[in-house]
Amino acid sequence: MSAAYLLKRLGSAILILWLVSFLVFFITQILPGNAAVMILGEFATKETLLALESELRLNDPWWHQYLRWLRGIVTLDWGVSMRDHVPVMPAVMLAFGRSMTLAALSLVLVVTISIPLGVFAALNRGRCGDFAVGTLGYIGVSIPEFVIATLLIVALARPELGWFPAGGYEPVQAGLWQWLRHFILPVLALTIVLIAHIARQVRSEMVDVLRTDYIRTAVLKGLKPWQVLLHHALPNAMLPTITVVALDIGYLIGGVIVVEEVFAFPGLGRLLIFAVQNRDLPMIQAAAVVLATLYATTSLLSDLLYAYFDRRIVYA
Amino acid sequence: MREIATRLIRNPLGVAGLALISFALFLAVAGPFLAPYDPTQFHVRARLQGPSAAFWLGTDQFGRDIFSRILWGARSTIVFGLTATMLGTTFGMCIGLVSGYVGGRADEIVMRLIDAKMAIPNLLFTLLILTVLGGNATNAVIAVAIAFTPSMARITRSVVLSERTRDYVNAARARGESSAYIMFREILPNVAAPVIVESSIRVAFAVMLGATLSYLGLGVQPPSPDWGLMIAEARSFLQRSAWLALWPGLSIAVVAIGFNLFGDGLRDALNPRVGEA
Amino acid sequence: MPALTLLPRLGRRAFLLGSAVSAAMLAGTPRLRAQTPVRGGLLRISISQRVNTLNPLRHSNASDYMAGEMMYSGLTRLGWKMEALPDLATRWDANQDLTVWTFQLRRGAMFRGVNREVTPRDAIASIKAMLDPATASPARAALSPIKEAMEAGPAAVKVTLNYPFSDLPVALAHNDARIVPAEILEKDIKLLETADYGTGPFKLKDYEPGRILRVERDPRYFQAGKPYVNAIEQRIYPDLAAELAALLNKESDIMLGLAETDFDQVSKNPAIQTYRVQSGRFFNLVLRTDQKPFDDVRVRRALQFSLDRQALVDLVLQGFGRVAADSPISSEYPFYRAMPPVRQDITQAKKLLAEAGYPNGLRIVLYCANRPAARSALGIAVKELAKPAGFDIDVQTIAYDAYNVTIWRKANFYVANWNMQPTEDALFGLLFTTDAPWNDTQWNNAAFDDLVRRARATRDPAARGKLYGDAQSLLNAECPYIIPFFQDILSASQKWVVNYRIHPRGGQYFLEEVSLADGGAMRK
Repeated sequence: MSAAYLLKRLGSAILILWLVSFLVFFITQILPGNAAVMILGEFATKETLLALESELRLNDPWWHQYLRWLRGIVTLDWGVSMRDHVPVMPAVMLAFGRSMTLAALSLVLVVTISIPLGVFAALNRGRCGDFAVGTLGYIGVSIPEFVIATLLIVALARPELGWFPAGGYEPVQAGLWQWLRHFILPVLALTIVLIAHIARQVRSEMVDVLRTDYIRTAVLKGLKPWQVLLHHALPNAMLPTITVVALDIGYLIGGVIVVEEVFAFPGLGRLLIFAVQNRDLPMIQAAAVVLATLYATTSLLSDLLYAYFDRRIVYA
Repeated sequence: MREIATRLIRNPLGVAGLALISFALFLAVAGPFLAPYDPTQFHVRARLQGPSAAFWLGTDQFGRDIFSRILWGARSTIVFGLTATMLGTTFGMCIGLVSGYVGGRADEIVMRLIDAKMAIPNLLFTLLILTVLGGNATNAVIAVAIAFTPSMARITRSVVLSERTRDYVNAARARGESSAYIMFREILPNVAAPVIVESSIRVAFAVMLGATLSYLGLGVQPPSPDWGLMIAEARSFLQRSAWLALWPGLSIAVVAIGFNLFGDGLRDALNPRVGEA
Repeated sequence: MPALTLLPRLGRRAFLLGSAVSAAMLAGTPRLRAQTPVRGGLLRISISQRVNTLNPLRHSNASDYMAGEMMYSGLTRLGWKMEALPDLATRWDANQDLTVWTFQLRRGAMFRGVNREVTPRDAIASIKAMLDPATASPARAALSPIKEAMEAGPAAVKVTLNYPFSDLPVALAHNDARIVPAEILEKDIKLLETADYGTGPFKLKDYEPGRILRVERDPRYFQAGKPYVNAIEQRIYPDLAAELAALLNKESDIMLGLAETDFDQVSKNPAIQTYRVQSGRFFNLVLRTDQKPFDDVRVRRALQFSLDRQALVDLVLQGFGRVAADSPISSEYPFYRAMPPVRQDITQAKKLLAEAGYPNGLRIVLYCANRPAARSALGIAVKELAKPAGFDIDVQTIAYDAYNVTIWRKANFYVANWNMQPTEDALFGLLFTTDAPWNDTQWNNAAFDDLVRRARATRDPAARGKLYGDAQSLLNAECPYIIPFFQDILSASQKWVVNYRIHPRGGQYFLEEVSLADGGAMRK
């Protein structure tokens, strides 16, 4: 992996982010209605509306607003929410932290479950176990997150059971269990889909790898099956899997938005949907850009990782 | 073509998918005739009832027959998935074709825009589009189609790039054919196979994305019978009547599984090596 | 008219007699629980809307109103029976033809911020500010009868009116008719947005917009001994599910607004007290009477007859409401007249439609904003129930802001909803009279305008009751609005919250009366 490649890849990531910022701004700029109308509702009088519009600077030309906003994004001054009058940056960061915790917990669970599952299916190719994993995989990838989340609420969050809350969030200060309890169902909803997806991927990679001469040679050399699996097959299957996991981050982000909405989990997704419903432009823009940045960063990382591992494999 | 069809039929996945899709298509066409009630008709005195002889799958908070709404919902779901995918595929194919064939600056710009779009997760993107256009079924189709366009364009373009330098293209150019002719009559047929595979898998995504958008209140609007919307409307009544969410949830899953299986089966049929795996 | 037996009520008579009742009224409302209130503690109230502004002259939602009431006082205050209670004014009096009113001010009420006693000058400056269009005070319409206010002695204010108006003391109890220091208004009215210059029971401690408002007990408050709690936190939960979770987790003491669909479930919780109060809050179908097809009263009446109203209460409000008969005046208003119930009558509806020129039915679009959710539920229910009568209604649900810009006061058929108002006059003058600021039906009925004008100038309650009753009958007969039901107000609190009551108007809280019993999470 050369420095030139790194720079080029980094440069294109920045270009993409700038385009994303423009897209997001452009889309939000042509929204009908505006935040002032949303805040004041039917009780608005012409005077209060005008006063609030000029207070929110909604009447400036759009490119003024864009440049002001872009400068703000870069200098970490993300403006003030039009609806709640709170600074956008801390609100977004607080929500982002919670969403990241949610996503990270899900990802850990997904990886620890789906990789063994995929390997298991590949080793039992064509047999019952493979079929079972395959079927579960199809079911998993075919149920939208909001359906799974809703069904989980119905099954596990009935008040008479008292097992899990149907939604909400508790800070850690309220106790570790209280905190964790609010994560369990959202994490489950997110993982079911991703486990299915990644297990399928691991399986098909493993099947390919197991067929290579390299593995055959290893087997012929008389290595024990677990040695072949652990030291030869798995590392080779990991490379494409990393890419898939990274690509699935985008999937995960979409899932997080929906799952947070279903569970009333106060993360970035919910913040975004709430902002969209209230035409809170600074909030929408910041949340969308943060999500896009996250996505672009992970795909950049996966590219770089791929390039790194790829070289090692070529020279291995 | 015949060979592909035979391979598809020999593939158990493809067959299962085909069966599920056929069933869903049958419901989409015949459902409205089979439905025992009008899907929006109230039964004021039979609200939130469990399954019974009169209402096979129970009733919702307005006393509407869930079975009838599920049957009608099949049509809206299938139509949504197919039109959104077809629109997205067509847009994407045109853009990819022109961009890949013309090349140069224009291609560069298109590709950067596509990269930028791909850096926004689909749900987020459709959410933003729909806040602009306003949430309803037609706009949701458009939003999903736009969201699908870039990846279809990218696939088309990659095929076009390799086809562009082939002999038959050079020959056509030497004959003095117009660029439009070369693109749409000579190259397009060769792009079809990978694009069809991709779009058949996309239908499942479109169905799920459409349901999600309806759930978020940005797709199909009440009182239309739509599976995603039915789950959204059930939200306040979940503790009392779990089946309100159960039936539409299962329906979405069945249709999405059908298209996923079918898409995979088709891919395997077109690409025998993977099929063996 | 049977309704007149409801009159006169103590509160009405009290202000007309005008004197010597202050001590009795000051004690406020009958104690719900007999024990002496325990002092201290932090009262945590969850609300769903954010506070828009601290400026007490510009409040516009329930959260604003609560903040305004905690920190500020008006001349009068709206009582539990919609009567005027003394606040900064202790007594009042009017001349014979109700055009000049004199208010005696309380001695010793102290402004925070400027740290001095309330004088007539402050009341006069505040009234002037409310009437000034530049202030954009929602109280302006309610106070529009006022010509001018002037000093009448060291502790009295004389208010002169443009025309006779018997509801002035109640109008002055408007949530935005607060008294603020004159010098602040002179210096810069914007000061009111950042600090507390009130005379109310609580003083501002902390304000994080969109998140939390914290006030603390002001020991100098003019009602000796009150308030009982040391502090109140108003916490904003934009999300109903999270708000309910907070209550159930005992993170809040009061949940201001509870959803109909949650009420039964929450009521089963042994730790929670739920409240259900009938109110004049209503939902309405707006029928533009200056546009086709609703310019024909027969079409409006056909729609009136095509609805099963009890079914609508059950379908839309899960039963938490009462049927109405297209008059917005509920039995909580003093001059309510019981209307004959409007029963569903499909044959009659069809006949009226045919007479109006629609023998084969009528296609029309009904617009509903996507929130509150009950609006679109009402739209869907109306579509279905009106179908047999020949109405083919296409329900269009649209985003709330798009609704405000493109539909409200523009379309000819849409769903709206309104809170109860303090008086009949305030409601009629807001929505129905020709000069009403939000006259969205363009009904412009001269007979109705005349009834409202005459009622304003009438002192005798029986005569006023007759006039207002006739106005209600007119609304029932002409139905510029279809008002199918009144919505109950639902709320919930922890059982340890004492003397929390729900006001039917939905903007009065009397939090200085509330205390926390032992066991309260934040007692101390």
